[in-house]
Amino acid sequence: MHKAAQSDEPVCLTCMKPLSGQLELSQVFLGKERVCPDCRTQRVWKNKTGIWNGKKIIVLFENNEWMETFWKRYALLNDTALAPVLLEGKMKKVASLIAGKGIVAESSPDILSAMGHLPVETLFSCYGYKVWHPQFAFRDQPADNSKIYLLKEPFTLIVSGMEVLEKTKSTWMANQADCILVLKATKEEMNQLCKKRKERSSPEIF
Amino acid sequence: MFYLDHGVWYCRRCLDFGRLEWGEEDIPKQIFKRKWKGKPVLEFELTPFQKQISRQTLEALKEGEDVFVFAAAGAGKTEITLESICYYLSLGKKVCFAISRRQVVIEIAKRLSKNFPELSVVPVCEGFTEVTDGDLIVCTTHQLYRYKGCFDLLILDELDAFPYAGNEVLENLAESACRGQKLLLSATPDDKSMEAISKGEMKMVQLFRRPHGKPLCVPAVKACSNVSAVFRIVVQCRRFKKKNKQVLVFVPRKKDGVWMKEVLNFFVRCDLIHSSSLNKDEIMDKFHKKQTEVLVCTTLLERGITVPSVQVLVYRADHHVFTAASLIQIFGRVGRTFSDPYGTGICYCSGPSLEMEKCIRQLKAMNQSV
Repeated sequence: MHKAAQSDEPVCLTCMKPLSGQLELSQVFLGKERVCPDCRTQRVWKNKTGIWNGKKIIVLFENNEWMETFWKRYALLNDTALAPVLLEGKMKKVASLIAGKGIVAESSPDILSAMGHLPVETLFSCYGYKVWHPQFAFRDQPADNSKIYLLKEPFTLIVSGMEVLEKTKSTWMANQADCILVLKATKEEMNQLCKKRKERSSPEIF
Repeated sequence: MFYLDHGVWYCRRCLDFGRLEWGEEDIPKQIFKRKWKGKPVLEFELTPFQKQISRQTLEALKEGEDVFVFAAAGAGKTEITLESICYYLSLGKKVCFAISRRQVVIEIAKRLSKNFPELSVVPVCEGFTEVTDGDLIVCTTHQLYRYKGCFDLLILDELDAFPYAGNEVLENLAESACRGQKLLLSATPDDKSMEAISKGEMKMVQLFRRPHGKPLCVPAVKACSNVSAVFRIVVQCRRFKKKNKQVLVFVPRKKDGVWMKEVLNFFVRCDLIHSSSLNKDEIMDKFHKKQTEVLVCTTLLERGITVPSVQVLVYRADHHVFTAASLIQIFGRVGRTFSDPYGTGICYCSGPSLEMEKCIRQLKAMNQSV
């Protein structure tokens, strides 16, 4: 997109500053860079494992100021040009986490009508992944959703943040998921998850 | 800056104001209009100079021209617009007062509410978006996206200020919100406006005399080290405190403000305000009520703020954030009231910058032209 932006020069997809001058010459010619080095450093990769309600959970990125801005623009304002940015350069690692499993993403008619797209699904579908999105997952109506039965068990549930996971707690998605990927979590949330993990792994004393 | 999404092009540059897709019909907002024939309530009568400029402005607007009011800080630009506002409202036309900064929107809305007690003057900015329509709208330039093709008179105050200046998106929002004339106000016109004036695209009127007739404050320049500057600022603040005068201490960066406040707090009641301050209204309110003696601030407060008997000190005035225009605005805070038309302005710096020299030259020229 960075060149399809129809500007005279390529710009960073997130901060819109010109990329030229910030990249090495080879990168400019290859034209593969979508994000400037500044934004790249602010996208903090975590890959932290924790336990949530007895389920294995992996947090991919830290939810910092950059992420807040990115997510607002991408998800709320429907800037789908940003879809490849988040997982760029990290897709191999993510692919290994979801290998051999189906992918189920958070979704609801409310999200669709408010945002105009399903942000998590768009993120993965731009890398060619088929994402199942049970339509009424948040409305506690899993029984009549046929799509999930087409999935081979087990599956990975992908949610944008911990607050969404809390909402999903009571639904079948979180209960049946083999692993849960959380795209972004704050430092406090990650500490909380790690604390629970330690508590779980410590031997019980009678 | 367009991007193709599922066969539809959308604009990424103005996405913050909602996704606009190619070919999408932009429906103008339905707004309330009413005829109001009345006169503004003024604490002081306009001076003959202000009346003359006000008349010239209205005449040009009646002829369908856009007008640029080039007036010194504290010369009463807002008051000059009142006659034009009344004229448009008397015809049942819609008027908007748009300003770059939220803080100034609130101040101007308060002032206009006093001037037009019979009208509903509605401020529209961050934190004030529940009511977006009224007899007279005062909003930030960002909020103009709500009012496509709504205004017969759009008054753009401080158009050379951040973030409006040089921002193509905001400029286009202003263009599309205005279907009639534009009235531009500034003490420091930018090159683009000057070019438009020289091409005859809009008319310029000038007013450099303040209502009290006293000259503008020309700052003194004190060359010293940064450490020495802090010491001198402390001494000055204590001196002003004894005279019961409040002080604005301008710093170039937020982080300078943090430690400057800590230092000054040992000697005077001090507070800090910058763009990220969460309780801006509360801080300003305390300063207006004289509960704080010194307010450390960034260029956030360079414009649109009137505090009686305030003195201005600028720390590291040679820093690149302090442009000539910015410094003219900063020292324009001094001596704005009839009760105290004089005041002190001091630049502390390691050496006078070109911008400082330009500022002083322009202020002197304005004083001479009075």
